[in-house]
Amino acid sequence: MIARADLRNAARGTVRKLMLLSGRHWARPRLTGRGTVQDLFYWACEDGIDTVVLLSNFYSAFFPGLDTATTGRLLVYDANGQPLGEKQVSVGHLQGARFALSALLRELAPSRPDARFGSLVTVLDIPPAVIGALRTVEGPFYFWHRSYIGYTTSAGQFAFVHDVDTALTWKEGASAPIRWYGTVKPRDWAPEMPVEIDDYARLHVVLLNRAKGRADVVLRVSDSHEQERRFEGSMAPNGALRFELTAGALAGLEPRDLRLRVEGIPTAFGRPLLFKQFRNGTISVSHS
Amino acid sequence: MRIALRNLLSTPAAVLNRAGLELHVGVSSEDPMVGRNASEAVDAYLSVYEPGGQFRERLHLGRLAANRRQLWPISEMVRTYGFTDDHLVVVHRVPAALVDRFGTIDEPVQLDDRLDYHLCRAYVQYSYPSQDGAHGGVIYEIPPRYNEGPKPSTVLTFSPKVVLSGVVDTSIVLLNCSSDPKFATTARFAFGLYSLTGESLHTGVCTVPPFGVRAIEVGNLLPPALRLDSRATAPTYLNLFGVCDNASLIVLMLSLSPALGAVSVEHTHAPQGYLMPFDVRDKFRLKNEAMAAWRDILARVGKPAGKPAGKAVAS
Repeated sequence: MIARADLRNAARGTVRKLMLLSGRHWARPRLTGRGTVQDLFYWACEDGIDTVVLLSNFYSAFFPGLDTATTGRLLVYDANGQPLGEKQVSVGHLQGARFALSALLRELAPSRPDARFGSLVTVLDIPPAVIGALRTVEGPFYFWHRSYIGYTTSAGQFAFVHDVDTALTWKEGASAPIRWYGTVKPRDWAPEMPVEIDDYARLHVVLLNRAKGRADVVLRVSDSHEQERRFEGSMAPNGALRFELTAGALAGLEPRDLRLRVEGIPTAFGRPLLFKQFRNGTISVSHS
Repeated sequence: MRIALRNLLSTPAAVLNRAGLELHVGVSSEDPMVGRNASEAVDAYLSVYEPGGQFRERLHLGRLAANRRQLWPISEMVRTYGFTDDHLVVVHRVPAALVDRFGTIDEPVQLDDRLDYHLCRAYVQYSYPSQDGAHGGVIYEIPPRYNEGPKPSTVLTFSPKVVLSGVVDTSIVLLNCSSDPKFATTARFAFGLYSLTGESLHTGVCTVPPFGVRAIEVGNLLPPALRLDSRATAPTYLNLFGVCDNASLIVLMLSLSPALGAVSVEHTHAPQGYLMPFDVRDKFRLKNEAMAAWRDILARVGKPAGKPAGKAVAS
């Protein structure tokens, strides 16, 4: 007698073979051929804080014996998701590049000195030598460009954080990206870190919108006595939304071991970034 | 699944006494993915290891009611042991109902296979003393079975988060631990530091004892002239590449500015996360091929450019 699990596995195997024959990825049918997947990063340039784009040739890590020199681009959006500009880049084998956002904005968007924060995406095309090395690999193959971004203060301190989700997909040879996500599918997220609001001069709870439509978001801050403050916001596709929390804004709540809950995150893993500024002038940033 | 409850949700952390940092750990009793698991009370424990990796004892930090957060001052709590070197602690979270039901967190118990705690993590926070609350933090976890089983786990890591300047140093912190208390592998981490122009500036090997912690202070590895680039005002950025073929390591990158009272910390990504092949076996094949190539490169590239970083690093 054939077990139900065996039948299920056989059916799954057949579907995968059909997907392979049709050149589509079994988990993401829209992925065909070769390409890259990118996420959005938060940037800020204000009050002595600058953002440092970290572009490193991650293909070199996987193919250290090949010449992985490649080209790419850096696209910057304002807080409303409107493009501020695009910069072409090239990175050699084992090499990297760093870009200060303040300088980039002066170059790309001199008419927008009002832009203080927003989102950006970095794309590194698959190097020709890597395309060649993948010739024997069957089916679609995509690189997810997991990466980091840095923030620095006028005193020279650095803080780094990684991306958390997927936003845009570039198929090899295509001139424009496609979105990883479709329409907004709101989810709720409860960051696990305690918030000690008296420790911070200012806390920004930052969200980015990787979906196709506008997203409405609610932030709740609660203490252990179930007292709560509620904040609302909205963000356009590719846009950035941030809630500013201070001891004053949360007056009346117990200041220790506060908890956050964000309702309406538009994509599966688009969880908030916590950007802290302290009274001694330093900063820290962490994903939740 | 059959598992010791202490391994269900655990986060190893380094107590970094040599850098003069204070460690706090924050714990939540709420699933971050709202709606997946009902919020419930959790018991929090702390396993304390000596600098040489010997297990000292496990403390019960406390029981959190449902929907709570709590930050514990770990450095302050373990100061009574008198350790002056860096050492490992592991924070464990266990749903209180499971603790009450089974009465043990050390013996394997049978749990429902459908239990899903993916992305449930503890918050690890570092600060310099007397900095008016300033700190840096990161959340992460290890899987319930970590560095366990007959086949050794491996690491291929790379990171652009290395920066040096007159006020910033970077510390690469390696944690070698396991969900299996009998784990006895001394991890061998070979690494290279590369300039942004692709030049190899240093290669080295750092060995980490089981249940141990080692910090590689990058500033000690390179000549002082490299702490500032040729423009004299800009920092020097580097890329890290590293492999470990006999254990999985947690690799944390700390940016330290003691003169400013600033610290930031971030973990690195597993290389498999960068690859989305049709056939998942290609992920591991490419990773293994890359590791083999890096082992050769790091063995061949040459001598360190600067002085070795104390006992943790031997080239």
